[in-house]
Amino acid sequence: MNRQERTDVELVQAVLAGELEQFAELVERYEKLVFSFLLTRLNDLQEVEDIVQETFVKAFRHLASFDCERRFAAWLLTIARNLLIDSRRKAGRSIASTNLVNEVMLTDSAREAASQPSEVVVRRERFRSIVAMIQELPEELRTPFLLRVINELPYQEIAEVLDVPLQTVKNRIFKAREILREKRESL
Amino acid sequence: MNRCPEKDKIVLFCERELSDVEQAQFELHLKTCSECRLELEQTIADDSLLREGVEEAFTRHRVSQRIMAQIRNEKTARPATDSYKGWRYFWLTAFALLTIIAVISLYTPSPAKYQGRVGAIMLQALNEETTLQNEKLAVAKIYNLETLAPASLDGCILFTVSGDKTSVFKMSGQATVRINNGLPEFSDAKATFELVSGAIITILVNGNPLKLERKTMIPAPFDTSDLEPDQVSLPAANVPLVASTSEQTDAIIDDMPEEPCIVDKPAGNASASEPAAEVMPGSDTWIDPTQAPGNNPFADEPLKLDGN
Ligand SMILES: [Zn+2]
Repeated sequence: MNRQERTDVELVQAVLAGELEQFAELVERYEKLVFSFLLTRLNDLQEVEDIVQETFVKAFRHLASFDCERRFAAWLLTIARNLLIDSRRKAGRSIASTNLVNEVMLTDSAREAASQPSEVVVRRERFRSIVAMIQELPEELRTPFLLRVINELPYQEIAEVLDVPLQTVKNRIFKAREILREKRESL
Repeated sequence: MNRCPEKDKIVLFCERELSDVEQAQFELHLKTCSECRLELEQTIADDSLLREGVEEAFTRHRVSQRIMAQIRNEKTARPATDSYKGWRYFWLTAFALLTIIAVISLYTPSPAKYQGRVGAIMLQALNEETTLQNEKLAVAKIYNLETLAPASLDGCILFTVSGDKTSVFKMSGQATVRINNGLPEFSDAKATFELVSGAIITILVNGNPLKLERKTMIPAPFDTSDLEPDQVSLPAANVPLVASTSEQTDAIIDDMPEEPCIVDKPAGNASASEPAAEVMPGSDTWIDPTQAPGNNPFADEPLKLDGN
């Protein structure tokens, strides 16, 4: 029996039955999804970390209320989204763009260590402009686009996670790419 | 400079949405059009840079250890046994019950004692002057104590403790509330407690168990020199004002008593600051049990994630 093959619902049921540590597997599966969902919406990575943590803890506390007919990832993103709205309301501000981008690639990655300093600068500059362009996308386009590019999810899965029709997902991703292409041309 | 008309296909090409024929045609075009070729290369490069950048950030900012540590530490943070749906139905039935018992007498034979785990503890302000952590609490909103504890409350608050049985009781006054063994625990309490409906419940007040029973106003076992004692009209002489302390504190909820839990005005309210709002049909805090679940203020409707 391959334990890794357990479905989300099976894991949820195992946690509810008392196998607390099985929740770690759900975290493992979806932490990056929640992280990238929040990444372009917040000011700094500390805030992203906090809301990722809150999202999973809240999911754990309310695990019994998870509707097994739904996708676990969709449920998580709903929680993350609500927490995000709460935190914005508390902070009384909307997303900023610059701080986050500066922070994201601050430390030296293995890849950058092997590169010329000038290449590193160019790469970071490029990344900065990409993220800035993405942050300007309307949210309805940004989220499916990020799920596609960062999380490399198939259209069908994005449609299920965002609870929108398949064709809508495709249209939004194409639209996002079109906008990004135009922005790139004007760079 | 004229824009290459084939450029519109780059996005579809990247997303592998071209038909086989179109794809072959476009690949052919790429061989001759440097403009499109450059654009395509840039798109692919940007995609992978974005992926790598986010991956780097993610690697450095993972919180899975923290999540699991918090979950293990939270002894009371067991996943709730009630679903939101369940809550909706619970509230509907709870208030439907209140309506009925306010009008007619109910008779429930042989009150069986029930000992089980409490699922969730929800609270709601009954008047606009009620505060939580010194901030005014919205009257129409239901809060899960688990997400607030320890909650410093002042005013008139309705608590709903749900498990296999449900209990609705009212607190008037000041106290700090947290969850202890699945039960609401009130510390630094200068308050009165009253069972409004549902099963008899034992709560913890200033370190002592306090059994809340139907139609009783139970002054908490603390110095009430600044509070007028209640003029309690007891339905039976043997119902104690203050619960015995011999009860176990682990989620004891008794079954419905044999006499109805009549919601009537308390003979005297011991809340020092605010008169208690009564949950009665026609009053502001009365929740219409015929309300659709969607409009139920207790319904915890998740935001629809539609990308907007
Ligand atoms: Zn071309």
